[in-house]
Amino acid sequence: MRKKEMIAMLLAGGQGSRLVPLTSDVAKPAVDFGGKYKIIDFPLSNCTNSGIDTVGILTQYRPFLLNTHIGTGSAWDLNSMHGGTAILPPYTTQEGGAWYKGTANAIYQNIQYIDRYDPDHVLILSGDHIYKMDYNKMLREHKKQGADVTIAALTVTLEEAKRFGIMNVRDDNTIYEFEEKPEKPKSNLASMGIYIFKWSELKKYLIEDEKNKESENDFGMNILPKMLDDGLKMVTHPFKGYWKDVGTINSLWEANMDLLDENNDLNLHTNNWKIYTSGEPKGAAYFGESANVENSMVVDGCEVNGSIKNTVLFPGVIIEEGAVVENSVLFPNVKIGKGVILDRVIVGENTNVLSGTHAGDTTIKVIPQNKTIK
Amino acid sequence: MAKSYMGLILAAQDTNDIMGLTKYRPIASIPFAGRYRIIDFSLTNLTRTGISNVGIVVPHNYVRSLRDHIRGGQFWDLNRKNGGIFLMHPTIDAEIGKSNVKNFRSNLEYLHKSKENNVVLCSSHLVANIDLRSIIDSHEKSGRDLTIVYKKVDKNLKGYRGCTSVILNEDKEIENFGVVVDSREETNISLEIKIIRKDLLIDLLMSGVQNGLVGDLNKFIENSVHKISTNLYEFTGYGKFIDSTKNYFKANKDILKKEIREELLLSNGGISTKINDTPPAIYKPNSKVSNSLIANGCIVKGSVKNSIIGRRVVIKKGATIENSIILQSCIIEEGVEIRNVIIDKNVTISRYQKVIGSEDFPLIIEKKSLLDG
Repeated sequence: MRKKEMIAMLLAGGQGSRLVPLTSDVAKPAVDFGGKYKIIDFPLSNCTNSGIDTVGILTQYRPFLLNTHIGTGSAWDLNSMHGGTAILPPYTTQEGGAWYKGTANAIYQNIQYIDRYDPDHVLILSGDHIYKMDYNKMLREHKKQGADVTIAALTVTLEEAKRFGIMNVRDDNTIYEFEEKPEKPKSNLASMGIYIFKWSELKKYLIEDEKNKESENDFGMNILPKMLDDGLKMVTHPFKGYWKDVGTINSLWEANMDLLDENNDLNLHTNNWKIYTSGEPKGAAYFGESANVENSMVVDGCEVNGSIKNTVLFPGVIIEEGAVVENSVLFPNVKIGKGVILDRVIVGENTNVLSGTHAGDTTIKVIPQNKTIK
Repeated sequence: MAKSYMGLILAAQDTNDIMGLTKYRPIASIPFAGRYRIIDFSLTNLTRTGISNVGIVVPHNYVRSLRDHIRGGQFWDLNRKNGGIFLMHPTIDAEIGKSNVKNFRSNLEYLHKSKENNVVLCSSHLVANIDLRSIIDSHEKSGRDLTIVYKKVDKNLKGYRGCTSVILNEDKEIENFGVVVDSREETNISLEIKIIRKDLLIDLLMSGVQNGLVGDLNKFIENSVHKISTNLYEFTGYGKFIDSTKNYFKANKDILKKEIREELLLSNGGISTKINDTPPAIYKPNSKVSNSLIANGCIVKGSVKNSIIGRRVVIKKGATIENSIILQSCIIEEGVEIRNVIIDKNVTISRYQKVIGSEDFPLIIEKKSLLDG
């Protein structure tokens, strides 16, 4: 196998418990987003666009739809002879088997896969954020700094900081303190959960961590603090641009609404950093005589006869005459019947809403998938 | 069943009546219905029966556009180790134009090497969603060597002038083939879909070339029909040849009708095409769209009526588009007025221009070529 300078490991096993009921059948990375994409399309497309051609995808929870979506990786040009995608589920050995216990343990269990490519560096990614990022630029800085670890960092509000790994850095971006989800954050520089490790170092720490029965086998809780204690060189890679954790129903809805903003920072309509996805082609969207469309996103395979406003439609959505849909997100193949009124609602895949008024208030209402609502 | 069938698509059609759109491409790769290319229909019809070996007789010029669309055949599951997609290029000694027979002659090794025993022939300029399995069934049940597919066309249906008519006798057997000049009465139109035994096709080709016959393969087989036991199959669905600007305009407009859209684009599992990874279209406040098809990647701020808009078209504020076809990546600037127009790829219509054709003679605005000044 050809030696690689860097390969990516994408943690995609997340259950997404705060996205229930949208995640009752799929892992969080396979949740729909932005009219035709799934959340995992963003890190995968970032890999392709950054020139990373080998991506190990660690799956665990409800993997079927995620695995089907990834397929051979061809949608992202990641079906290469010398790398490409590999789906890495937990497995058993002669000594028995175990689910992935934590983020670090998931990588530990796949040391064999990584060693096969003999990489100098390993990029760790998670499959639940919406952003465009050039990982190659991050690698260049990592090498220039001679760092053992580089962590992508984002400035958040002090209120939000409690949910993240928070870093305190010197002027040259080197990290002198790392606190995972601190009660009282000392800064607002948050880890995005995107790391580049020198593989020789990381491998040592993963093996050591596995022997430690007290450890939670987690990068943020265990590996990073330990490396910092031992004096390894850790630096941040500051990120500016659109980034959204779509881990809750409200943030998923918000991120969809962000796309409707004329000057949204994610800008899907640019050709120089395409987001790729897999799926069958469908015919162009059809708008009937009585259609009314305002500030909305409509994708191939839709048919609109009613009114939509501030709304994102996925392929195969049908809106019948007289229906009024506002501030909503309708997943693939949803049918909205005559006269139905929706406001601030996310409707799961294949659901038929035949009648009634459905509205969320401060929280967004979710109508689960595969239902018929009369 | 389909494992013993291979497909052959004749994509070297005469382009005289559809010049504007075929300046830089064969008819096969003209964009259609917002996001397809015309050859997608033949490719999908063939491959969804399980046929996994398809040869395409390509024209002598402008193959680039067709190759760019077909790639390795992956979008039709034709990226195979056995069979797959095979582009049959005319060799230098083959006459240019419609000399399909000579082209086959120079690509005969491909036919010999293919392990299938039967060939499904079709033309790339037919827009139809056909379940070929039932035609193959009928062919096998008949036990005959050749099956010819035709469609009965009502006397009021225009748009088949120049097509081959299938003339039947009282016993519903083929008497002869003719050419449609006028649609004064009900006519049976040949859909140029034929099923034939491969060894028979090769024999016909060899003897034909030896006897100095060159020309269109369809005509060639039709001329031999009295020597071959022939089965007939009537197709009753939607089917139109894209052989003139007028027919192209009409067929696109037909897609706006619900029944035709559903039959042509959605039935039998839909039509496959190259995937372009275009984001969803965005509709701004004050946009107005009715009875129109709009593909992914568009940004719509103006109004669109009775029209078909291809991928990544930008329609700016105050622009009005009516009864028109706009192909991908065009920019329609502020205040533009467009009616009865076909605009090819990459064209920008500058502010407040009026571009108006007539319904019977739509105006064609040619593609912006990178070579043009």
